[in-house]
Amino acid sequence: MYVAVKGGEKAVKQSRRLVAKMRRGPETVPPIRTNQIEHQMGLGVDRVMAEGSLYDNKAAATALKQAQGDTMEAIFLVRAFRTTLKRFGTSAPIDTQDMQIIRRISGIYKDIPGGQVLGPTYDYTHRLIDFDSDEKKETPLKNQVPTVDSTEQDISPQQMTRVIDILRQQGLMDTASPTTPHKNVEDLTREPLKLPASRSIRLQNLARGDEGFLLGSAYSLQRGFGLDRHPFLGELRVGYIAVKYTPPELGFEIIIGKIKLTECFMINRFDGSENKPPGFENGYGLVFGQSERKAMSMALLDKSLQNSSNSDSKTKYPAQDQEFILSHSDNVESSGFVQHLKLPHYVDFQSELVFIRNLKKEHDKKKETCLEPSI
Amino acid sequence: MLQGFQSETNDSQSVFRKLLTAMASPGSIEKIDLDIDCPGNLHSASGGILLTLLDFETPFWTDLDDSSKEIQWIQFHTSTPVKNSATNSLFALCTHYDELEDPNLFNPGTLSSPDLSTTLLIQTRGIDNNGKIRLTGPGIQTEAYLRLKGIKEVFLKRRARMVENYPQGIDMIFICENRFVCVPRTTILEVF
Amino acid sequence: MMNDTENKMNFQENSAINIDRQKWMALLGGASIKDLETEKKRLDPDIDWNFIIKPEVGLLMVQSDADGSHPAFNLGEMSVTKCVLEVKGHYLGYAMILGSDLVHAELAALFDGLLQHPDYRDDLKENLIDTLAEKQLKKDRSLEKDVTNTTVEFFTLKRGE
Repeated sequence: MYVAVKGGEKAVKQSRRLVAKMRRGPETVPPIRTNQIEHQMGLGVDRVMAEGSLYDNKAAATALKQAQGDTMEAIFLVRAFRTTLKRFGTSAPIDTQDMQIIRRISGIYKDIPGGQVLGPTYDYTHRLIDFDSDEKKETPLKNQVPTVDSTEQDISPQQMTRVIDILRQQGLMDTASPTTPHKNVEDLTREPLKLPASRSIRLQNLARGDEGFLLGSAYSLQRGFGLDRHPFLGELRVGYIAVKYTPPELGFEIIIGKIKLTECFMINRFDGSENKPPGFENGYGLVFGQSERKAMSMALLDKSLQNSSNSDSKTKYPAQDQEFILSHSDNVESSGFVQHLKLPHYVDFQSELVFIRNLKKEHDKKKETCLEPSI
Repeated sequence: MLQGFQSETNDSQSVFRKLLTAMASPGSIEKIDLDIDCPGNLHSASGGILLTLLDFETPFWTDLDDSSKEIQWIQFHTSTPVKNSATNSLFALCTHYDELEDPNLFNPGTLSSPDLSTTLLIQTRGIDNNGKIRLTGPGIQTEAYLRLKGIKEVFLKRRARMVENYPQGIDMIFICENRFVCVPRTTILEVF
Repeated sequence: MMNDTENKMNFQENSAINIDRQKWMALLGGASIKDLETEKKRLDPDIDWNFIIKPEVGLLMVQSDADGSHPAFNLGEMSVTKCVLEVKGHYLGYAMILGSDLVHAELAALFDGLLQHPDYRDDLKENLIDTLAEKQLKKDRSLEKDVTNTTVEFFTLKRGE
């Protein structure tokens, strides 16, 4: 039980003033601008957009600045911001086959149509902190790493067949069934989470879930808490996709803009059952911005939750359990509940005190009576 | 195409505030002071309230013709899916008050979700507090009186039977020009 | 029969205009605001137009059909800005752009309206839309080149080699 507390207005105002002062830091250092955050801290902005569940670079960068770089606080700000906006409609389902690719790799085929494209990645960098980065003059990029003039032909995204489609063509994977029209798609932001949840709801939940929680849960699967077989990275792609929407006033589809996405296909072996032939199964991950860790974790969890939603299999480990994963993935919810402990619990604790004092009294009395005969 | 609100945010908030006040005290007549140019037979209070309440996810039913300029205007500014059946609508607009006889055409909601019921906007020939309809119930200190010009008695009688199924029922907003009055399902109407 | 073909032709004509319009709307949405402002200055400053819907920030739910093997899901929302205005009392200019830039939405809607106007269409297509298309293509090509440069050939090594 919480008790309303009065007063503290002055202290709260002063606390806000102090936080603003701390955020600004020493005035000898120039203030940071949101467009610097937007363009130079892009991956941080991406995370805020993904978990804030709102693709808006400017809002995410501003939130990061306001939260002093505290990612979760920024996510909270973005979530709060989106509730103030009116929803105009729902986009046409985006088709990732049309992605303008900036990175695309596969862990299962060496030679894939279109090739393995490393794109911008930290995977092949030395993890050495460059302490001189501030002092370095801005040298044009081309002087640092000379560009190669590729003699190969241009690779258009159309040529980058999805790896999953190769497996499908070989009959090793379920073929696609037609997509349901968007009107029937359940939406977590409109209806509360009900268990067991459909795959649409699970994917939406994971896409906005906390990266750390998803990563830890996926890791637990890999370490043996739920996966007894090695999963394979079918394909990981990062790129831009045009979002299309048909405004009812116009009656025809228009392109609203391009957004950056990370997509992951995780392939798992399936040895067959009575109803289903052997083949491969897919775990799917799709995230706003560039976040490979998260897309991969999402794909692993998507698969493990698919398995546990089959009635014949039992959930033994947390990362197989829908309720465990879906109810604890949201970091705005979890940080709210954990941090509510900062609120006054004075009355609750008073009752605890009374309870413990009584127990202690009884305990002491028992001890005394036990000791008596020996005197 | 006529413009909607001058300022989407401010205007819709001011209408919403008036609507809350009116719903909280049934029988009290509120006025929408905004300058809204509504097309055709659409009263300005109807226009203001619909622009405030409707969006692309709110099923809306009306007795107006699909291709009428009123509907085109409402749809343009709210993207509402018009012409759901009356029984499935969350909001409904009735302009032919003389044909309005049966409130059971609309959605009373369910026992577990009475909030899914229809909120019915009815355009009348006039509303004032000097009528023979007595209102009692929550939000009314003792009693209030209403005159709803053009509304048939049979409609009110059927509605009286309908509200016996509380919490199911429909909430109504009677409108004339820029004035409106609310009669939620909790209000008892008696005609003298 | 006659009616049928007539209808079809009308439909095709309309869809041809729409395809054209789709193209320029996408380019206006992706354009830099500076380019749009410069172009506006070049035009007659007294163009008669008025707002139907002032620039308004809202959301669009982005839906994905994932890998296509299962029902679609809601990925998350994106901020968009919508604006509708009427040019010369007849042409409705419409814009819905990514982000929350009110001025950008207004300019995009204005040019969409003007581009429907026969007096402006050819001029704007030549001076604005073609330039924007060129810039967009250049940008895409440059990105494509940078990305293509990171294409690797992995070799599997035999033991003992």
